[in-house]
Amino acid sequence: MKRLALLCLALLTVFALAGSALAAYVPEPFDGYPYDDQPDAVIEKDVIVVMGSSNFDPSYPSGSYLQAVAKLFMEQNPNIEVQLNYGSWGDLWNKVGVMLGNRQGPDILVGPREYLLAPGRGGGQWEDILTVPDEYYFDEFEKAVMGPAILESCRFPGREGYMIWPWTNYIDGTGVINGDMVREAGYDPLEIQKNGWTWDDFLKIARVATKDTNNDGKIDQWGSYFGPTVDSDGTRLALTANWCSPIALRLKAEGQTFIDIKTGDFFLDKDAFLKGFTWIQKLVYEEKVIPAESIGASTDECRDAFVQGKTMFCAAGSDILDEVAERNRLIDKGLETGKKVDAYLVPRPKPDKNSPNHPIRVYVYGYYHFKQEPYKGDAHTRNVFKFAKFLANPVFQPLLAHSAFIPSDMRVWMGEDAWFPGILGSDANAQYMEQIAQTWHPRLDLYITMATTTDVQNALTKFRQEVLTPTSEEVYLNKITPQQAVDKLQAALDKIAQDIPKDKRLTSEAPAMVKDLEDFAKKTGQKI
Amino acid sequence: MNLKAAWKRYFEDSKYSEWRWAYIFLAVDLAWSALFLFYPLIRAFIFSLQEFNLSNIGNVRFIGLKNYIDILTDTSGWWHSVKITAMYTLFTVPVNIAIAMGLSLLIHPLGDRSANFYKSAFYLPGVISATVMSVIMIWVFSPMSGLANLILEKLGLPTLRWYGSPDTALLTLMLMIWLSGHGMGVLLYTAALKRVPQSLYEAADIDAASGWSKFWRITWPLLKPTTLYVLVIQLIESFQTFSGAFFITRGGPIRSTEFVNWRIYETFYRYGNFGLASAMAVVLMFVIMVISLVNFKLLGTDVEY
Repeated sequence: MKRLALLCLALLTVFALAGSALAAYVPEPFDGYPYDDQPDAVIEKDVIVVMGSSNFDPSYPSGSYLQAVAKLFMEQNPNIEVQLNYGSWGDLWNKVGVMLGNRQGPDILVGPREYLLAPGRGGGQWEDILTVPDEYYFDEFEKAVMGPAILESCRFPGREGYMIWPWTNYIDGTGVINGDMVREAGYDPLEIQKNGWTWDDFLKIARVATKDTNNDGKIDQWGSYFGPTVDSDGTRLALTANWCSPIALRLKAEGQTFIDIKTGDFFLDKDAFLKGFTWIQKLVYEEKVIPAESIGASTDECRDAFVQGKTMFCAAGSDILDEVAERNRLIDKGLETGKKVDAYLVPRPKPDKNSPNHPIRVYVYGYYHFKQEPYKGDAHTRNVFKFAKFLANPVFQPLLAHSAFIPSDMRVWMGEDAWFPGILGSDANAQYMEQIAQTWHPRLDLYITMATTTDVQNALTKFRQEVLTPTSEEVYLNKITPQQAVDKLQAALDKIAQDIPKDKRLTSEAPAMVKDLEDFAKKTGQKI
Repeated sequence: MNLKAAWKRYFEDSKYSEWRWAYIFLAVDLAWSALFLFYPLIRAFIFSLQEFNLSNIGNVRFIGLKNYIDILTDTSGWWHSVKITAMYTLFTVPVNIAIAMGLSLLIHPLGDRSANFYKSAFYLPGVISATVMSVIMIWVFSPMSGLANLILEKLGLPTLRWYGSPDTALLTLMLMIWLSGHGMGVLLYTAALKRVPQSLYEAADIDAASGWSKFWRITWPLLKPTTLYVLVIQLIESFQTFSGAFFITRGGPIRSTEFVNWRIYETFYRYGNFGLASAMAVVLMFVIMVISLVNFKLLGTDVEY
């Protein structure tokens, strides 16, 4: 035992000495890229690495389409090989984060700008995205043709981003409703889609929808499932403040945003949290229109319940429409039994009729390119953009569709998820998404993150992890009262305020962020 | 001496004749370990001494032992996850060893074909990936429509929220391991039981020893090396447990399944604090090392064969 103790002691000593020695070493700060003066490399067979998630998975219509387009491109350009890499959503962003950190970003990344920003910002990679040679940008005419959506998506405080074309868009902050159940309660789903609805409307419809349909004494149809309490809580049903939020509350609810970036004060909107927590407990434990057992259920379980007609509402994005369409198709073909679901994409419910609609977030997918280290040469960059334009060309896309290069089942996918000038799709959901394209807003919490110091970010991370999420769960599971929860949150925030002096809370970028948010508030007519 | 000459000498010198190929094969394995084990280990150690997060990737700096001090003084975070992991270990490892040993004692007297069938059957869950196993377990223990609740309902018993409640989430993850995590133990114990000399049992029969007495005085002591091995392996696995928290509970509800590895993962991937996460990983490695050494010290002394 003595020998063991000595061994541990020796290891710890070595460890401590090495740590202290290394602490004295401070490397030179990163000092730009050296390759601007390097000559072009000669490329005989150029390889373009493209990364995405299910975008390239051939088992999805979009992936199958992209693979086919890449193949066509390689046939036309035999000296270029296009490698389409795909993995799960989580894997993709883990890999991309590490790749960007090592300055080895893929040649093209297909994904939403919002996800890219988080890892991109830290490594200075956001700037790298912007430094693509001017000659490869779309010109002003092309930008104008693409409409305001692309311009807005490219804009970031004080900088102009580069994105080729928002080929597809995932709309979040919305929900889907079952048209039949809504009509049964005397409401018109199209009216809800057009003019929004309140939480009281939700409750009235949910009461009618919640029932025992096969008379076995057990309720088998519900207003909604509750869903995950962690991780997805920023966008799903469970996030309390989202339940009654105009932009101001959404800002406070999302990410590390419990700080006023104008003054540096920490704050908690007690009233909003109290109302949100109370409302959730009412729906689950008083009205019982949401099964308590569904608290913590997986996102998939909640989505499946909606797709199979077991729930009236699901807090999902536009992509669930594909799943509904697929199940309906299988029922038509006799491959699945059950009743078809008549789904409508709608805004989330709001507190009262006069409140603004719940803000809708759009993940604007684009094709991003990064500076390479080491630089592979202008010829390579040119090839990368040749392929990107080939994929995204606004003339090429409808031509492909017209010539039946895009099979009809893939067109459904494009019609539902894309708003590019009327390629396909003209039903109520497609029209609604076109309308959203004009009113969406970016992820505002990123502005807050960029305005705060690492100390604040770390403290708020710990706050979310150890106080906000578990306390919210305690409310959802009816273990504490909403008031107790709010008190807990306030106490924790007070402690953070004590620990971090006011002059160490905001970065030098904060004033620019404040201005941007204020401009945004003015533009949208909302209060920030 | 140049490389070619050294290589030639290595193959011609008789003093290497017996071991030359062994060294070559070992070199391959060592190179593999160096690349995928030692190198990442050293990198993780270096990261652990740095302020290295998403906000400063371009300007990483050494901060000595600050990350370690932060971890060890973090009572609400790190020590909470250590407590959860320790509880999980305490209740899964001994139970799993007991299950594995019990099953092995039942399988041991069977004929070869039956024994092989059962050994394969119990080992099968170990072959399935953690992802698949977790998906199956979500289906079994889903509070809404899971198989476990269906069975409880049929038996007229109250249903449970399983992983959906902080009171039962950790227990559910333990149950998953109790149900599926003893394949390797069964294989090792059945092999070890074959090596126990039959004459000892015959002598015990002559002395009219009871079944319990035979187990306690013959089987148990002679299985001690195997038990030690299974214990150490399962302790390591248990301290590194991750898949249940990752695929099923996400560390919740109310932090009831926030294992050490889950915390490391969250710190690294979700919050992008690579330095702190690496320090946590190094501390975990030390903890596992110390526990394993203590086990070997305490249990490895009086083994006789």
